[in-house]
Amino acid sequence: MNKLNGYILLLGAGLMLLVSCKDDVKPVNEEEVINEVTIRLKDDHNREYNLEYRDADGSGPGVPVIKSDTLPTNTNLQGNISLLNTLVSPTEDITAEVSEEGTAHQFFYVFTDSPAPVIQYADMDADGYPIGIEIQCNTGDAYDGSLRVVLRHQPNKKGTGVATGDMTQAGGSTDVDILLPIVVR
Amino acid sequence: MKLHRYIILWSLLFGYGIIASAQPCNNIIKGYILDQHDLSALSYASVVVSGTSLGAEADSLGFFEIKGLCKGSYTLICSHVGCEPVKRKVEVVEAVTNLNFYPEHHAHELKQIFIRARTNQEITNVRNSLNAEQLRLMKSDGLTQTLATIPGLSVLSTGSNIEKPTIHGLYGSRIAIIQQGSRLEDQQWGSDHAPNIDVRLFDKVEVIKGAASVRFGAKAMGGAILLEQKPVYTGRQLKQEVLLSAESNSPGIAVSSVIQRGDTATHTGWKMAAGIKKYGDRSAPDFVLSNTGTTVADLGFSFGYHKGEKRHRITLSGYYNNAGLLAASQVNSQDDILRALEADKPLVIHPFSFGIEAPRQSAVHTNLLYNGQISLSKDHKLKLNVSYQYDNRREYDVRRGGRSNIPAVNMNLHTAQLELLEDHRWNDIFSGMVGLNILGQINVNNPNTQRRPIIPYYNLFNPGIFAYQQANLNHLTIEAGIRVDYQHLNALYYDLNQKLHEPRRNFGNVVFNIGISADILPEMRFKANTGLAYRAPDVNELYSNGVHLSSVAYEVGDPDLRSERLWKTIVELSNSKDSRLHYSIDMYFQLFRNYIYQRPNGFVSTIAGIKLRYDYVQTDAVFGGFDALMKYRILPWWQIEGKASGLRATNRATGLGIPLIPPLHISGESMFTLWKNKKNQTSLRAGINVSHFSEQKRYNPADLFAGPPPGYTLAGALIRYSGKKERNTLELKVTNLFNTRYSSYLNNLRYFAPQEVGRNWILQYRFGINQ
Repeated sequence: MNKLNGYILLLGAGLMLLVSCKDDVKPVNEEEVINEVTIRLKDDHNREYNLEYRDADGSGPGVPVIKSDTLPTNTNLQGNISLLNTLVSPTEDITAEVSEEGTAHQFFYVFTDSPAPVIQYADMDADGYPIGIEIQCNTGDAYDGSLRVVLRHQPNKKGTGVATGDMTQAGGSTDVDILLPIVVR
Repeated sequence: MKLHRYIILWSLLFGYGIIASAQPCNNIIKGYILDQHDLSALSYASVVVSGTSLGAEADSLGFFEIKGLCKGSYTLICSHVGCEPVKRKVEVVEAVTNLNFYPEHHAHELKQIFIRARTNQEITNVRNSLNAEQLRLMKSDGLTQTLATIPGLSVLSTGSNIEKPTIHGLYGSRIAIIQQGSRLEDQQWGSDHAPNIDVRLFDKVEVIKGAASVRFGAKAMGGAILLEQKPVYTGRQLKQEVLLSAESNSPGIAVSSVIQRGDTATHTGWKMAAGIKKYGDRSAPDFVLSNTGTTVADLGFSFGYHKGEKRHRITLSGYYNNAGLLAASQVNSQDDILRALEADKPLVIHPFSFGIEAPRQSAVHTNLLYNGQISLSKDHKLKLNVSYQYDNRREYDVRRGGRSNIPAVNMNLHTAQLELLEDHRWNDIFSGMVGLNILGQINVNNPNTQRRPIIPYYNLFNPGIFAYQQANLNHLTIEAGIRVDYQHLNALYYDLNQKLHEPRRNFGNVVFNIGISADILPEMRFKANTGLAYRAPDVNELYSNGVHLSSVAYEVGDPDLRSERLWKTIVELSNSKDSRLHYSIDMYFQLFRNYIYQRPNGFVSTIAGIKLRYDYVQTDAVFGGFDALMKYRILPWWQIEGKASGLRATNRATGLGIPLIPPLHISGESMFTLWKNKKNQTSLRAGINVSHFSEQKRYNPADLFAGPPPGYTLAGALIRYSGKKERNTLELKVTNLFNTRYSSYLNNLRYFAPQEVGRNWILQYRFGINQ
C-alpha cells in the first residue's frame, strides 16, 4: 500500500509539473506569405504605369486594395512583377525567392476579354523556359477588362503551350491568382 | 493419478452408496464457468464433485448442471485446459444451488489471448475481438486496415498512407484507442492525423462498438479500440516470431520480430518487438500515385513481474513514421481543386520512386507505461496504470525559398496519465469497479515553422471518476455505470493581427451507461446497451483559424462551442463463435445534440485565389445503422463468411446527410482447406473474397467539393501453407485482383487522384520458434 501511495504522489507531482510549466508562446513570422503584388511597366519614354494589389492581412479573410493606372494604346511596355511580404519586418522580397527557384515557378498573364493587349515573357530559367518575372507588353487597341495574374509552383513547363503563356496544361499549385482591372485608352 | 482413481473407486463403493441410502438425492448445482479475465464462457470445462463420481461438462456457453446431489456439504473442483483447477466448498440445502466458477485462464493454451482485468469489463457492451489470424494480419497490414474487417468499422484515409479507424461513422476524438489503460493521443485533431502506434507488442485487440463506455470516458463516446499484452511470459525458453513480407504494388518490404523470454524462478519476463517497413510509390491502374511512399520503424520493450495476482510491468515503445502525401494534393485554391476534378489523372505525376518529398508527414511517438496490480484479497484487487507519451508531429508542405525542409507544422505533445482502479467481487452475483483517471496534457508548437500553428499552444487537465456495478444472474447479466469528468483547457495563440489571446474553458461532463446480456436460448445471446455521454470540444474545434495543410479549406473554429451529447443505443444478437453456423447482428441508434462538424461558409479571398471557408458549427444529428456477420462451415474443409454494414446519418438542421459517412458495405469470403496432414499438423488453405461498396447517396452537396464516387466491387484471393503446428506459414495474397479502377468516398484526397491503388501481390512468411 505504501508503495502505491508513493507511486501516486510521484505521478501527481509529475502531472503538476506538466501543467504548470509554460513555454513562451511567440508570434510566428510568416515569411513566405505574399501580400503585395506590383506590376511596374515603362514605355520608351520612361513613363511608369503601375498595377497594384495589396492585402493587409495576408492569408486572412480581409478584402484587398487594388489600384491600376490607365495604359496608353498601341504602346510597347517593358516591365516586371514584384511580390512582397510586408507583414514581416524587414519586408521580405518574394520575387527573389521565385527567381532563385525559377525552374519551379512560372507566371501566367491572361486577359479576360478580347481583343486584348499581348504580354510576352522576357526572361528564362536555368533550363531555358520562361519564368515571367520580366515581361513585355503590347497594349494594342482600347481595352476595358481584367488581367488575371497567376503564379504556379511546380508547373509542368514542358506542357503544350505552357512556354508561350497558356496555362491549360501547366498543372502545379497556385501561389498567386489575382484579377486586376485594366483600362487601355 | 492413481490416488485419484482410488478416491473415485472408494467413493463409488462406499461414500456414494451410504449417502444415497440415507435420503432422496435430487438436488441440483448449476452455474457458469467463465474466464476470470473477461467473463467469456469456458466451454467444455469440467466440474467434479470431490469424493463422488458426479460431475458435468460445461456447454458452449460455459453452463453446467450437476444433478442427483444429496443435502450436505461438498467440495467442487472445476478444471479446464489452461486453467488452474478451482476448488470450492458448497453447502447444498435447497433443491437448486447456483454457483459460478471463475477460473483464471492461462494464455499459452489459447490462440486468442485474454488478459483483461478480472470480470468487470462492461461485458454487456457490444464488442468484437480480432482472432489469431487477424492479429497476425495486423502486424503486417497495420491496425486500421485489420480493424476494418470487423463489420461496422471502416477506414478513413488521407491518401494511401494515413489511415484512421471509424466506428459507426464516428472517428477522431469520438473514438478512443487505449493501450493497456493509456489513451493514445495525437490522433484526434483531424482526419489527416492518423494514430501513430506500434502494434507489435500487443497480443489482443478488442473493439467496443457499443454505447458510451464509462470506463474510458467521453472520448470513447463512439467506441473504443483496446490493445493489450498477454501476461508476462516467465518461461525460460526463448520464444521468437519473425515476419517477412513483400509487396508488388508500391514495391517494398517489411521485416519484424518479436522475442520474449522469462525466468520462472524470479517470476519475471521480458519481451522485445521491432519492425521496419519501407515502401515506394503506389500505383493506380492507370498511373503512379506520386509521393505515396512510406517508411516506418518501431521498437518496443517490456519487462514484467508476474506472480499470482501480483503483477508489475513496464513497457517502453517508440514509433517513427515518414509518410508521403500524394504530390498532386498540394493545392492552394478553389481553382486548383476544380482543375484536379476535371482531370482524368493527378495533375502531378513523377516517375516511380522510393523517395518521399514534401508534402509529407513525419511523426515520432514514444510511450512509457507502467501497469501494476496487487490483490488485497481474493476478490478485491487494485490496479494502477501510469503513462507518459511524447508525440512529435511534423508536416511538410511544398514551400518556396528552400522551406520545403522546414516543417509547416511542428507540434510537441506531452501527455501524462494516471489510472487507479479498484476491482471487486462481493459474491457470485455482484461485482464491479471504481476508478479514477487523471490526464494532463501540453501542446507546444515549435516556433521555427514560419507558419501560424493550426493547433495553438495549450494545456489541459482532465480528471475523472467512474463506477460501475454488475449483477450476474443465471442467464442474465445486468450492468450500470456512471462517470463524471472535469476538463480545464487553457490555450494561448496569436491572431492574424498578432494580438495574443488566452482563452480558458472549463467543462464538467457526465457519462451514463446501462446494459443487459441475456442467454435467451442455449445457443443465443442477446445484448442491449444504452448510454449517454458528453464530449467537450477539442482545441482545433474551438480555436482553428487558418489554412489546414492538405486541405484547401480555410478553417475557422468557434471558441464558444458547447459539449456535444451522444445518446447511443445498441442491441446485438449472436451465438457462439464455435458454432457451425455463427452469426452476429447488431442494430444501433446514435442521437447527437450539438454534433460538431465543419460547414462551408462562403469563400475567403486570398492572394492565391479564393478558398472555401469552413466553420466549426454544431447541429443535431441522427445516425442509425446495422452490422451483420455470418460464418458457416458447410463442410469440414469449406467455410463461407458474409458481412454487411449500413449506416444512415442525417443532419437534422438540413435533413441531408453528414460528410464522410461510410456507404453500404457488403462482403463475402470463401475459404477452402485444400490439403491437411493431421499427423504433421500441416495444411494448405485457399480463399477468395469479394467486397462491394455502394455509392453514398446521402450527402449535402455544399459539404463536398465533388459528389461521392460511384459504387465499386473489389475481389481478392489468397493461398496459405501452414507448417507444423502453424510454426511457420507462407502466404501469397492478392488484393484488387482485377485491377479495378475505383475511387473511395472515405479518402480525403480522392479529389486529386481519380483512382485508388491497383492490384497488389503480397507475399508473407512467418516463422515461430517455441510459439
